[in-house]
Amino acid sequence: MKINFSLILLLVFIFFACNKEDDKPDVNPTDKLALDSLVATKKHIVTWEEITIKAYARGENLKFEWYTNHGSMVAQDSVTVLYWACPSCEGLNIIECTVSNEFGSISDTVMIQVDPEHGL
Amino acid sequence: MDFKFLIFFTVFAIFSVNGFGQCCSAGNPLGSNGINDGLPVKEWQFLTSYKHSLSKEYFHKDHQIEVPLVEKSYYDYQSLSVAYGILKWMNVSAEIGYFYNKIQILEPGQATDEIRAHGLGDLGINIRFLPFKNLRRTSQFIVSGGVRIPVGAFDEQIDGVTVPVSLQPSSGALKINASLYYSIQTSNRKLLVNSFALCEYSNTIKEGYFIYQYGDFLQLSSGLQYNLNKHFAFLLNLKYEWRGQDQRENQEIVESSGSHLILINPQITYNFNQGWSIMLLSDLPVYKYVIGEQLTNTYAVQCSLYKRIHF
Repeated sequence: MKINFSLILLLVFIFFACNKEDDKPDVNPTDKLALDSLVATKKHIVTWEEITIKAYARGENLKFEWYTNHGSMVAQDSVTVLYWACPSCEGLNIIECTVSNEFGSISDTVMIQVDPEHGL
Repeated sequence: MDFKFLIFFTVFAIFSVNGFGQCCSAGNPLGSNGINDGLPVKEWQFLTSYKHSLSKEYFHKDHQIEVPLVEKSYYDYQSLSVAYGILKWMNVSAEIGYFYNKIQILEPGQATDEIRAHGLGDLGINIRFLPFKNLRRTSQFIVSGGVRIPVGAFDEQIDGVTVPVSLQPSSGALKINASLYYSIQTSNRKLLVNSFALCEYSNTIKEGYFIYQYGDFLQLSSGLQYNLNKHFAFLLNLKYEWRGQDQRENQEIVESSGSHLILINPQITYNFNQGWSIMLLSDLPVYKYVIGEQLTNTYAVQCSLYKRIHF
C-alpha cells in the first residue's frame, strides 16, 4: 500500500514537472536547431518607412515567434516580417525572433533606429 | 425655464458622427462610465456597457495631417460592472471589460489588410466615500479611489507575430486613480448641476524589452442634467482632458504623446418602470491639441444598461 501511494505521488510529481509545453529551454545552436542571424533590409529608418527582417535558421519543424518593444510587424511568411514604426515609436527599437522545435528554443535580436520623418 | 434646447442639442449631439473620445491605446477606455453618484446602503448596481470607437484622423498639434500605411483603427468593447453600497458613506465597485475586437486597417497594397486582437481588458476596483453626512438630501459629494489591474492579454499574436501595444486588450500597467464628484439638485428635482474631476497615474511596465510608462491623465468636467419626467433625463457635460507624455526606457520622453482636449459629452437616460435604465452617451470635440503626430478619435458611442436592486 505504502509503495503504491509513493509511486502515485511520484507519477503526479513527474506529470506536473514535465507538463510545461510553453517553457522550452534555450539550447546551444546545433544542426537540429540554430538561429544563425536576423537580417534587416535597413537598420536606420524614419517613421512609416517599411523594412523586412528575415530570420536565417536551421532545423526541422521550426516555429517562429516575433516580438518588438516599439513598432508594428506583420508576417510576410514564417521567416520574414514587415516592420514599420509610427511617430510614437521613434527611438532605438528591439526586434526579437524566437525559433523553437522539439529540441528547445533559441532567440536573437536586431536593433532598428527610427527617426522622425520630417525632423520634428 | 425652457430646457427644450438642452434636450434637442443632447439628442442631436449624441447622433452626430464627428465625435471624439478616447483613442487607440492599450487597455480599457478611460474616464467615467457615466454614473458617478453614490449608492444607498445595501443596494446593488449591475451595469453593462457596449462601446464602439473609430479613429481615422492623424493630427499634428491642432490640425489634421495625412500619413501612410494606416487607414483607420477601431474597437468594440463590452464592460460589466457591479457596485454595492456597503455603508451609508461607502460604496465599492468592480469592473471588467472585453474587447470583441481591436482592429487596425492598413492601406491597400500592404502585406495584410488588417492587424487585429481581442480579449480581456483590465480589472477596475473602486471605492467611493461620501464624507459629509450632513449635506442636504439634494446634494452629494463623493471621493473615490481605485486601481486598474492588467489581468487581460498583453501578448496577442497573429501568425506568431506580436501585435502592436496599442492594439493589446490590456494596458499592461497597474494604474491608480482618484476622483471627486459633486452634484446639487433643485428642490423640485428637475435640474441637477454636477462637477467631476478624475486623475490617473500609471506604473511603469517592465516586461522583457518593453519598459514603458503611460502619461498621467486628468479629466475635469461640469454638467447640467434635466429630468424631463420620471423616465427621461438629459445631461450635457463640458469636459477637459489632459494626457501627459509617455516615457519609454531610460526615461526617454515619447515625443508623439500627450494631448489637451475639450469635449462636449451628451447623455440620454431612460428609466423603465421595473428599475432598469438605459443610457446613451457620446463625446464631441470642441478643441483638440496633440503633441507630435498622433492618431485621434473620430467618434465614440456608448450604450449602457443598468439596474439597481435592494435586497
